[in-house]
Amino acid sequence: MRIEVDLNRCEGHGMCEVVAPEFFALDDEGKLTVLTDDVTPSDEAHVRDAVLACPVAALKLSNNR
Amino acid sequence: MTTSTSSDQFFNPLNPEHIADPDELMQASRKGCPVGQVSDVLYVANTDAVVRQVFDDTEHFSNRGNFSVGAEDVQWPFTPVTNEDPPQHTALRARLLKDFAPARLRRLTPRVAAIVHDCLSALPLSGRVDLYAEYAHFIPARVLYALIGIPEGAWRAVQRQADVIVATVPEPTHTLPEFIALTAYLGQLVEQRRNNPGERHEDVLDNLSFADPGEQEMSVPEVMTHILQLVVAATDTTRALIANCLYRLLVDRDQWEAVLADRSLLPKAVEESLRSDSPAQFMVRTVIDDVTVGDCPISPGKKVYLNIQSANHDENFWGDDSRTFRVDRPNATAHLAFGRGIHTCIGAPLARIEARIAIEALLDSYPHMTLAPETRWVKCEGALTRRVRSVPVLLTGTEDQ
Repeated sequence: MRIEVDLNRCEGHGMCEVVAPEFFALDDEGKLTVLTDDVTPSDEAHVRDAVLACPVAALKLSNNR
Repeated sequence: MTTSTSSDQFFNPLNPEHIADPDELMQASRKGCPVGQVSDVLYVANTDAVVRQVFDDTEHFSNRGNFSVGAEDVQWPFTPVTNEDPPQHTALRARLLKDFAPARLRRLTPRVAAIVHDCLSALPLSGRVDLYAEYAHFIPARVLYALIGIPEGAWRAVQRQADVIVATVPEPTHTLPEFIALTAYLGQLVEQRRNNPGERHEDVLDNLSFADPGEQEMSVPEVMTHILQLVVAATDTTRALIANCLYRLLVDRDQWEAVLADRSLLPKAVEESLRSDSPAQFMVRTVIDDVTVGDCPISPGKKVYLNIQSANHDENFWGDDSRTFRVDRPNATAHLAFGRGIHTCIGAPLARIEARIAIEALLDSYPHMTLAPETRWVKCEGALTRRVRSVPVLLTGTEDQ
């Protein structure tokens, strides 16, 4: 699965980074970088937790490869 | 399922008897009536799935009737950001985000720590105190006044007026003497700023007093609307978060000890407190286009009461111990206490910082404090806020104090 980010929605809350720092990183200005957008089945539940934690619903897990 | 919930079997926000102790009724609603109608105009959404659905859907729902559970909406001279829809909402939120961008709020951490330290030094070394009235009460107001740019010498007077206004909401406040005095004072501050355009500050007053290119000039009453909205939204809720989290940690002493031993549990405890005792119990949306919430069709003009507390206790989402406070709960961050989507609480990062620093200061200075004997959970009055009425503790300082 892949991580999709809607950067128009992202405000830099950083909750994704709190939940899954292996996949998400914010710089000092709150700009989000997805470190790896390819999610293996074993990481899927973990990344889904980060998606659920996003306050502005800017993250999605999709099946598009 | 358009189940009428006029019976006492399910949670009904219009029934004053349901407000003080709503958890059992909400559990019954989640099981038997996830979406129900409680009046001609009002529906109640009770599960994580349906509340999340409505938060994420700005096509079928408007914020204009937010907080009002009756057919009549509160009339505002200017619309606060909590009741605004796109595209006006988008511009106003972007304007406020200049002060409330999470990265900028995180840079306020030293200021928050200084304010917490002042409040901590006002506590006695030992003896009985109420950590709500004598500690948690002061911190969010002062932090917010610093962010707004209100001079420190005026904080005490402003808090006295603001507390009266906050306690009156959702009833109209504009005729209160405190409202009139506070408006006059904030108006003076705006004029002072505008008379000294060469001297700029990094605060909310400055941001709303001066329009950057592409931004809208604001009148004093308009600035006042947005500042008051911030005061109403930020103070009672964050006070509740600090008090609720302290109560839950201390009432089950093992959890206080666990956080003392491993401070990385503190942010998790704050999230778990937001989930299990959500400071803002509900939000309201107005249906603007035919929609189905869960299995329940709802037509335009009707309102939906988003039962944030019930969603955050949802057994299907959180498991069978959903009503238990557990500092080690996996992914408590997924709660809906701050709402979700374009209206998500703009002050959430600041509330989290305040709660963490306020509780950490007590862990450092009073690790041996205990909840006073026979203390029970009693919820404060009012439908919107969930806060324990008081947190009486017996203080015993550290040996080196």
